[in-house]
Amino acid sequence: MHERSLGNRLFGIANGTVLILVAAVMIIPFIYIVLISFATEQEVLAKSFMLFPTKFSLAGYRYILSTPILLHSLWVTIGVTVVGTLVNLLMTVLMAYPLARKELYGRRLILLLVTFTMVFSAGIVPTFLIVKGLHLTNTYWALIIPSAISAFNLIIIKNFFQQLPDGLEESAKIDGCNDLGILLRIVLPLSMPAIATFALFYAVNHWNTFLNAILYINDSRKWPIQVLLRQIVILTEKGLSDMSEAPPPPSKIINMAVIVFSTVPILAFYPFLQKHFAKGVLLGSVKG
Amino acid sequence: MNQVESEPALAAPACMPKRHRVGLRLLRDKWLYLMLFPGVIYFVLFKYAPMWGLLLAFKNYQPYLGFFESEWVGLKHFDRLFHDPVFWMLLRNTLILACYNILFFFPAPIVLALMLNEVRREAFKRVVQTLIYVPHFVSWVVVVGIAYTFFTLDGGLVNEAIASLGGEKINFLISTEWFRPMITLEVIWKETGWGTIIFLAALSGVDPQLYEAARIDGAGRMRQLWHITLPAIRSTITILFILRLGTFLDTGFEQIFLMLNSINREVGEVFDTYVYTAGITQGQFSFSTAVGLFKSIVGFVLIITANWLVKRFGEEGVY
Amino acid sequence: MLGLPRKLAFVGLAAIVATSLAACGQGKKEEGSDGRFTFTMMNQYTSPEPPGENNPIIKKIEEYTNTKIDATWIPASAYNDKVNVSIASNDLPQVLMIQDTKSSSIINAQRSGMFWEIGPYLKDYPNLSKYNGNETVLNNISVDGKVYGLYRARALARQGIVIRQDWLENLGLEQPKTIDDLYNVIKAFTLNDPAKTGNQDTFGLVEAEDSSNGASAVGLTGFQTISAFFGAPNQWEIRDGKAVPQFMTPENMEAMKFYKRLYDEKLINQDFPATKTSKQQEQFFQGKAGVIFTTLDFLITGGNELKKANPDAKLDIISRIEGPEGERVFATTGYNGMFVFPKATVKTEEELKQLLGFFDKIVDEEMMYTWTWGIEGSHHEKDSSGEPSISDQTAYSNEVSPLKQLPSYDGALMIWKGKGEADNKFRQMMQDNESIIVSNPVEPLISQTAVEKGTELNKIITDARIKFIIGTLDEDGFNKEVEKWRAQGGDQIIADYTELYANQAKK
Repeated sequence: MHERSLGNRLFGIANGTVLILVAAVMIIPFIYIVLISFATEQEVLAKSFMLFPTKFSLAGYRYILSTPILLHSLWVTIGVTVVGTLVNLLMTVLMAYPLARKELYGRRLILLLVTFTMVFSAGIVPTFLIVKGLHLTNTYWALIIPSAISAFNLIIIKNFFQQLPDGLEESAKIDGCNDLGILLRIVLPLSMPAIATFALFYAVNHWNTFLNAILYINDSRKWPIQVLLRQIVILTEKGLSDMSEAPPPPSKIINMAVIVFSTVPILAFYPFLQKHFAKGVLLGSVKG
Repeated sequence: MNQVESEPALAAPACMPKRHRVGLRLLRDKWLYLMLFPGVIYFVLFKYAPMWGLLLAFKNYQPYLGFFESEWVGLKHFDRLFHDPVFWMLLRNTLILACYNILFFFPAPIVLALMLNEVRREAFKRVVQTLIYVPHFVSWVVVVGIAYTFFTLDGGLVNEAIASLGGEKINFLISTEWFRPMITLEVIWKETGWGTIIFLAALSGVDPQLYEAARIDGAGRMRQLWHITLPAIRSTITILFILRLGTFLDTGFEQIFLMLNSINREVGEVFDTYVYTAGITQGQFSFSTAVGLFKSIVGFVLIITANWLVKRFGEEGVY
Repeated sequence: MLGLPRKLAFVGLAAIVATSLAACGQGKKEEGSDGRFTFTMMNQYTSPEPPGENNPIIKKIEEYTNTKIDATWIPASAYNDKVNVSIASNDLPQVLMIQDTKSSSIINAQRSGMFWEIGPYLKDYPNLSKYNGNETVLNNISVDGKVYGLYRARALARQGIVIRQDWLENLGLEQPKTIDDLYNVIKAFTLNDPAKTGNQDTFGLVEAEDSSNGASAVGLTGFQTISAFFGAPNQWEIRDGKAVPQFMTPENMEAMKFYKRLYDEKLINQDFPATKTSKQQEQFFQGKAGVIFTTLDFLITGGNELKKANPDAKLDIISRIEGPEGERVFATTGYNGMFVFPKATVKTEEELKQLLGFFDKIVDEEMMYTWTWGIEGSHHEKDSSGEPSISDQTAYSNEVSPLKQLPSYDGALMIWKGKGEADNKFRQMMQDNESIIVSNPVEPLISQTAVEKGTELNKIITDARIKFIIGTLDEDGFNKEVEKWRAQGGDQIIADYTELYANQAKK
């Protein structure tokens, strides 16, 4: 970065300051959640609001470790997320690439039909019947296959593919590549930022999957963590029990600890993908 | 791939009948169709096969009877919706919130992404990016819970701050004026950072040599932004905008439902919350489907119109 | 591009995960071939985790009844979605717990004959007829006079006032006996520094909105309690042969004015319309308020929580407040959800009887003991005189409590010496109050308009009630909202109930 004028520098400082403020505002509530998860129950109960607990406790996390099903469900979530994301990417990229090729016959019709499904959705029951008819219920595949492609992601990926520089496939075809070869050898390597982005989008979707798990999976041993997390959060925030002598809802610290426990793994996923965004693409070398 | 409708040399001679040309194109692109195949099967099986569910809107669906046995009622459910005394209130509230959303929330990630793009220090950029994307993972129940803690009248952080500055406390949570700004602010807070990701991905496709060249030409930051950065994400913005219109009347059920109460209902009740109490909790599936269908039709008309307009202006649309 | 070794590693990982997923997806082994009666059930759980596979209570039930329960436990937070899908896709278990008994799809399903009518069988089962034979409650769950579900019995007289006894003592006050007393106590709890902190930092009464109650919401959690004292009807009453909703009675207006006074004089939390019950209770536990209108059993659960932050706090319960019509308490519906037995899966009468026999057996004397105390050694211990006491509260909460969704009676009125004085007190009070309960006469009647539009219409009233209390509507304004309710379908509901009640009385 040579020749930085004073104006440029001032702009940089102002820009940086605003970004720091924005980041602070966005992260503080989460820090609050983390801090509460380490507080003692007495203190949380006694104060309606606090930023720093005076006493630290690991009770919330001890609770998590004492309940095998929570740990187990985290593994389910991780497994479903990994496999599900791979399936998503495979299916989406395979479909998006042909649709990015303008000369493809029938392309507009398919795109219109895909867009249609974004706006009109069939509803829970008919979809359930399909999943049941395919004997997917009570298997992990019920969490993966019915959401194999997101129309939204498909359209955006297609759009990214379209923006790659012209003439790539022609030169490849001259080298004797078929269309699949072009996709694998040329288009994909150039689209790593997009692939990383959609890997993240899909992964997060799988991570948050909740209603499908309840509808399609009866066996609680196969539930992903969000099913359990949601129940705990709702129990704490609203309370569900109706019986006299019901045990008190899980305390706020347990609630917060479970939120942290179920969020941190997917948060940790981001920095790994970030390097793909940051790299940029040296298109010049391809063109040249 | 940007050559519009270019017919490569492989294409059949112009004198052949059209049918044959199509056949030849199909043959030529056999790999592409093969690649399309799994996706098409997916959409047919999981999206179109269950579409009969939409017909429930025209039936009086009783789950125990099943789809076929339930009686047809034509437009009865739509009639009920449009003649409901609260219909216009719902429409107004939904539209206003949707416009707030498009006006204030939609541009937010773009602005933030452009700001991040201007950051030259890679480490700083990464840290900020990581921090701002965290709120996306906090569920609405928790976000609203935190909002209540911050904005409540007695002991809420915001009101305590107002009071200590000598101002008069504001009962944010049961205020009709503050309802919409609070909803929009919550959405901005929760989703802006997440929304930047897609633009940052689009920006990473920009060739750094372009900036280099612009600097040599003496272009300032603003001109680089205007001539290089924005054009690079323009088509992403367009596509996202069109797709956003498809869900124009979706206002996010859970958030609004949690923020609603007796006092702010007159400005806060939207289609999604109304259909929840009027349809879903009462087990009236057909009515819920009808309201959903109404929203979908509005969304689809908006998408088609926007896509057509965009294409008229020479941009690449969704389809 | 990925380097080849990394690519291979990646593919390898994917393959491993995929096969392990597939392996886990294999169907489970069929059990129950050992002659035990096996049945499928879908039920909700309201605990943080579903009852585990190795839950000792399940083992005990299965052994005791010689059955094998193939249960699907669904989190209560999503239970209705699951039930709706199950019914719509005809994917039904043999025993289905239904929480939302008055939703239109469930009512229609009952009318269509989808479930066995179990009413006539109940008398054959000694325990079920003891706990699930209450005429009022049977009437409440019936559809067109027929009983299709085994209801899960709850106390009928459950509501009352929970009060900070230590605050009363600090201020030298007596427990309130009349509505005026109650007002004065609430006022003193706000103004006279009952906690002796030197500041005026307490509310007399902490209130919350009750929208989660759907069609039976009244606006505020405590409004039912107060309006009972003022002599209002419980939701509806029949006056001169005509059905009249509570909010059209003068007593309702009195109760609203009582609240308005509390609000205007700032004796009640000022943002109660936006306060959820969890927040309400939290404020009570923090020692910010001295009175809360809630269920009498809150004495125990609430008391335990309160003592965590305020170890010296003392709670007591009151339910008899003398009003213009004497002492009155509103009845609850007396149940929370019911079990139904779909004909599609319970094929024969024989099977139905077996299932009812199961439910009968799990509320017999020995099992009620187990529900209350768990298993000796793991959950409770007996002292020298044979009196049990809970020895491991955590194990009890984790293993016994979640399963209390299963028996058809929660033991609310059973008094056990070992549970302690406070526990005995609230149960005794619930029993005593059954003599002064006021029921909702239209609860068993099914008005089509109410089923379709009830929740929606009810919001007009609850909103107006709250607006009246905080002063954005005056009495005329409130009456205008009532007119709106009538015009949008309320008149039809009134006509329906009037007619249905007359028909029912004729029978």
